[in-house]
Amino acid sequence: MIQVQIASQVSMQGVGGVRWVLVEAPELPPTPSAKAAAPVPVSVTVPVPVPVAAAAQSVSPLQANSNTVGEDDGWRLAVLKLLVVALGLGAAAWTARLQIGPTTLQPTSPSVPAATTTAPSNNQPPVRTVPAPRGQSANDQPMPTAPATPASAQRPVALEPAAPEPAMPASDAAPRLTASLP
Amino acid sequence: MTSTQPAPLPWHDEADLLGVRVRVYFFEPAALSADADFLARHLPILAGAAPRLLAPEGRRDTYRVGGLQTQPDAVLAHGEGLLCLSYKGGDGRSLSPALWRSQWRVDMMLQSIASAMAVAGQCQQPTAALWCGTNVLCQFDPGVAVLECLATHIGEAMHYWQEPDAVTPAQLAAFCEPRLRALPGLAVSGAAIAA
Repeated sequence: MIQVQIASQVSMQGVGGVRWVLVEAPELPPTPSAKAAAPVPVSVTVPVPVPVAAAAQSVSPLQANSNTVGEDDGWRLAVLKLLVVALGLGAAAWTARLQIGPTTLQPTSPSVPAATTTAPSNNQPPVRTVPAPRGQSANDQPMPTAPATPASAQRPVALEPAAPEPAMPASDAAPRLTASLP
Repeated sequence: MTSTQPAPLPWHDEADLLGVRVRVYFFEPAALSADADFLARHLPILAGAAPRLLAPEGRRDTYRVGGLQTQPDAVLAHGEGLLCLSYKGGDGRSLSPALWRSQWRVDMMLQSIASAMAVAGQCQQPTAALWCGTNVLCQFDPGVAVLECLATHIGEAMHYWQEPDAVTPAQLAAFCEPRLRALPGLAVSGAAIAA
């Protein structure tokens, strides 16, 4: 900030009644006079190649500090990335161990059925079974729900009871591709 | 112990115009002889004093504070401070002593104040803003609101006028005049001034 003093009164002896205000000094590009006063770069005045040690000494401390800080930041970023990836993998493995159980090596031979291994029942893929009559068993495994597919597609059509379905409202009369199937 | 108060100058009239106390001194330009010196032609009210030109007459040095750059018509050393005098601007009309308030040009007044700010900022000396017209010499005593408006809008004026280096007092005055007129306290004092 630059202080500016404006005189409010003028007399025969001089000025008086000073009022002052602060003017912000913006950062401006170097003026031609400043360019002339600035030291000329070493590469211009000295045509011979500067040794590495001398070049390192010619770098200002601020610039050197900024360079080292940039390299340190790069290393820190890489280490942090690796740490985050490792933590994610570890968390995924731990979650899988809790959900599935300890992983074991399973033989890949087709002669040995996979069902004979120690895989829990939760690991088995859901098998579509024929819907049992009502009240037969309350512990039956529920059918996997697929909200995107229509209900008619989930039903085993071939084993559908022969009872006629109730009439659908007109608004829900979607085209039934399986309606004509026996 | 006695303190001597400086004798006030014999101004003919004064008024508050848009937040600036304006003091005017009318003179007869025809009464001036052809070989009158600079002070007699442009500062007749200071005929008995001895202000000193910092540069030869006609040479306009550049003064700068922040993003405000000016080339005043003349800068004089007067006592412990400076006088920033503008006399080349204006439309050349003579002001009537009875109607000078309605004939007043705010842009010239603000330009003179802005030039004085640049001179004061670079020289770091208290500077008075003066303007000499065809038949009148004016001294401007800007209030705090005017000084703050001019000082705080330099950056915006640079952006408005697309001047990456600096703005002139004319550009800053043109940018700040509507803002000064919008200030409630100053609108009353500037109501009599023709826009």
